[in-house]
Parts: sequence; structure tokens; C-alpha cells
Amino acid sequence: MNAEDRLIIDSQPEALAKARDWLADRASRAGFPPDTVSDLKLALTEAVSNVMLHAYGGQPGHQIILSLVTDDQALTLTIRDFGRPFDASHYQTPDLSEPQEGGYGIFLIHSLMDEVRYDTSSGAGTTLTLVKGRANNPSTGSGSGP
Amino acid sequence: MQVDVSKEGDIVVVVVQGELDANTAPDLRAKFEELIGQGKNQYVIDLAGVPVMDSPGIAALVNLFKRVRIGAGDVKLCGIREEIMEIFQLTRLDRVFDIFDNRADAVASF
Repeated sequence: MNAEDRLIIDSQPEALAKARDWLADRASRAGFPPDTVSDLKLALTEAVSNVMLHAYGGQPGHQIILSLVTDDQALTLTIRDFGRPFDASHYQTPDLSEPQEGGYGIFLIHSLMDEVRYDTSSGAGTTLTLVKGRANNPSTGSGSGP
Repeated sequence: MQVDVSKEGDIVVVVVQGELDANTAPDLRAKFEELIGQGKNQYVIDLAGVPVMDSPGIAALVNLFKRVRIGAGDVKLCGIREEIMEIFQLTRLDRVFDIFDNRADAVASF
């Protein structure tokens, strides 16, 4: 069974909780276990925070579209923004040998999700796709770098 | 998010309750800034009431840690829920912070 859902939020940090609650509700209802739901909530939070901060420069009043599809294999979440496109070439894996005050966001997303894809081909913003497989049906991806 | 501060001798106990994310982490950083300004350098941060934490929340804790460790201070964490502990493990910050099951053990460790 496929199920599609969509939530549009504004680019202000107050919207993070609403987005998390939306995703947690849908993922739980689709049968994903609590630990996976926690991973999904964290990945979503990091991804949306990045959009707010980097794509939209910390400015509210911009649209972020969250789309969710679940089936018997996986949950696929897409996060669409229309701000400054994500440039994967600028990403550096954090130095885990020392405590850092930044740079963990993308690292955590890749650590928690089975598949992460960035698409900037539209020329306006970025579509980030996050895939989390069901425990007994893991997705083909395995947290590869950006 | 709610932040409650109390003192046990020279140790500052900060109890955080609620979601600690990009929206609320600035409030925690502001509280830490206020306490550092008062010369406090021994902290127990009780995270038992935190169901959600992201990298800005981590950054607030690391910032405090780095600043107090310049001197003779320290930051101990306690009560971290299983779903939050994963973040500390992935970032290897579980090897940086002293982490205790409960507040009493964290306070006693100083």
C-alpha cells in the first residue's frame, strides 16, 4: 500500500515542532517502530534547520514543502525549498576526534538515513530526498556521502 | 522548553525540559551565557526531560563545555534518554562528556 502526504511550513524555527509531529504521526501510523521514528524526527529537524539557515539565510516567510510516501519497503521524505541551492562540494565531514560546535547536521542525516539525495537541477532551490527502509526490508542505499 | 537552575554548593544544576532544537537552543545558550558571566564553572545538565535534541542543542552544550574547560571547570550530563543518546554516540560526544544516569551521581562526581 502506498500513502502520500504533504505538509507546507514556513521557514521559521517555530515550525520545526509541527513538522516533527507530522512526520512522527505518519511514520508511526505506517508501522515504523519508535526508534526509527526518533531517527526520522532528528533527520527531518537537521534537514529543515539547514534549509532555514542556509537556503533561506535565516529569514522567515519562505516556503518549505515536505512530502511523504510510505510503502511496504520504506518511507521516503522529500524536503523542497526554493532558496539558495545546496552545494555538496562545500560539505566536510566533521572531525569526530574533537567536540565541534557545528557541522554535525548533514553528518547526522547521512548516519541516520539509508539513502540521501540532493537535486538542484530545477535551478531554484533544492529537493532533498531521505529514505528509511523498514527494518526487515532495508533500502538499497547505505548512508553514502553527499 | 523550560530551563530551571539550582545550586548544590559550587555546582550549578541546569534542568532542561522540552524539545531542544534550533528554535529553543538559543534560549539555553543565553542561560549558559548568564551563568558563565556569574563566574560559574561547574555544571550538571539534566536532560531527562528532553525528548528531542538536534545539532544546535549539541552546539549549546559543546560551547559551554569548551568555555568552562579552559579553566578548572567541567560539564557533566545526566538523564539522557535512549533516543537522544544516539546523537551523542554518533558524534562521539559520549566520549567527551561524563554522562551519568541520574542527577545525584553527576553531582557526586565533582
